[in-house]
Amino acid sequence: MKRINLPRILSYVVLAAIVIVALAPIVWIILNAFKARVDVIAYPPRLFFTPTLANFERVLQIGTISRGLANSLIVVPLSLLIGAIFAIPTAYVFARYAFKAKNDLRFFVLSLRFMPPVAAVIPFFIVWLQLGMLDTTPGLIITYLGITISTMLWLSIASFQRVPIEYEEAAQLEGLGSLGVFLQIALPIALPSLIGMAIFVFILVWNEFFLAFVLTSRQAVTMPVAAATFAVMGMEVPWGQLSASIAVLMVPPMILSYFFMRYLPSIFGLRSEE
Amino acid sequence: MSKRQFFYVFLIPTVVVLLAFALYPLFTAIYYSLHDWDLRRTEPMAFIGLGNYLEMFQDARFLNSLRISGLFLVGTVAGSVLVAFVLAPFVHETARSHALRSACLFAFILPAVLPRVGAAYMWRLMYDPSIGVINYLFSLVNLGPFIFLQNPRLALPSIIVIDVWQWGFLLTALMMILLREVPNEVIEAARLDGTNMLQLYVLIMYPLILPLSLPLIFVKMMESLRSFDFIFVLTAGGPGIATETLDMYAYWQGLGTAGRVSYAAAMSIFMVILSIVFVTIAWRALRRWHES
Repeated sequence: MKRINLPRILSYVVLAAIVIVALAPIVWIILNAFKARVDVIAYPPRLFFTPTLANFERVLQIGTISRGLANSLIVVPLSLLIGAIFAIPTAYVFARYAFKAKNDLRFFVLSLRFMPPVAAVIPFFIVWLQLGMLDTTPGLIITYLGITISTMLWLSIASFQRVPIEYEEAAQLEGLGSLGVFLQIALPIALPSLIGMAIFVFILVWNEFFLAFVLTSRQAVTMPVAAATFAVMGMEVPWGQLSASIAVLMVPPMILSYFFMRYLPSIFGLRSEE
Repeated sequence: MSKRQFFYVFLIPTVVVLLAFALYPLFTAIYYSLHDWDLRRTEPMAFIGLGNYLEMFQDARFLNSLRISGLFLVGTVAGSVLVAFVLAPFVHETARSHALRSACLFAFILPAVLPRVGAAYMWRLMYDPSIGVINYLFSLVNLGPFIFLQNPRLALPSIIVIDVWQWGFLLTALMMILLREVPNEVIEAARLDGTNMLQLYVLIMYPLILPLSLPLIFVKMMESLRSFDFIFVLTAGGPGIATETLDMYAYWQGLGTAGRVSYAAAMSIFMVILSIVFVTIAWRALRRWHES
């Protein structure tokens, strides 16, 4: 007869508790998004209730929210795409060329990532104010390029360093020019890890709040700003609708998180699970 | 395209754009910080030299925000690192199959990929004094109700808990990835020598993964300096100024209600200097660590 291994069972119970702590807040706000008002304000809090879509219907009718969603779906992919055009070939240069200022430039790119947003936002605010581009989508996209270019450049260097250099040398011997080697050899091989990188930066920009909050007010609000600010208007927090808007806001990062997880090992220079 | 052409065509424009992104805001902010400019007044900007900077260090509210930022930084970094160093080995040893480990990994990165704004509202709902589930759980053991976010003494710790929820689990996930890479032979050899679990981790596993986890701690530190999203949604710096961090105060002074753009610019320059000092020290230390 097999004996029951008590410490083992106990550690599984603790493990389950840890996972519950990690997930409970997320599950809780999603549940609240499907609750009718009486279930939201019920005390003690209700775990079981009749789900309703009313909050989502109401929230998507709020102009700010639907505009925020539409703006985010434009601003985030565009700043990512333009950022990639600048960052990815430059990352290849960093990975493959030796030049004098390389280490200093790399440090500079990294330091951009760590610049406090509040320091950047005041000058941007003044510039867009003077150019009449405050609260416009192009203004926000240009502002975001500072984030996307620097982050994508920094993260892509490692992707190109992992491309076996022998392939590139062989192609060169066959008469392929530098642009050809980059486009036909290095880029396709690095692509899976570049996609992982892009997903990471997508989540980063999708979630960005502070810059968008300061630089937009009505027309160009992004989803995080819309979700965070529509509740401030009334006195009582409409928790059902707020939960629904947060749930909508969370959909893209939640979908992408699986791919993000598979990309994670490569930030240590380990092989990602492709 | 020759090697040389490729080099210039793809390096120079990006570097120029990035320099513009870094230097233009920086120099504009420095310029404004040396002036007196108030959005509420109509008179033109006047040059006042270091006046804003001198005012800053006599401004009790600024010094308070410096203190709050420091507390937030220390609390969130120490909390997240502690959580990761305790949870990662436990989960790594308990969940031995690949599937279970991956499932845990996924659960642990989820809080961190969510928008900070979303996380903040989740916890605001749970912290709520009248309908919040946390107070309900406390009431089961006859404690509370606590008004977490409106109490000057509880507000900052309550916010730190949320940050540790996101970052502690993320660091745990990242450390689990690193632990997975430790070769089995190393662990077997240690077992044969009769080391127990605690010794195994303290003497062998942690030192092995430390070079790769230190940069993470550094990233977390820099991330903790930017707490605006969180605190804005949870307390907006209140009650009073109990959770008013540096960036929150600069926001209120420059862009929120006060309209003192030049004063806020001076504060933001101060933050840049603080970050540069921080990054440089950490970068040097990391390089020295890697070289030794």
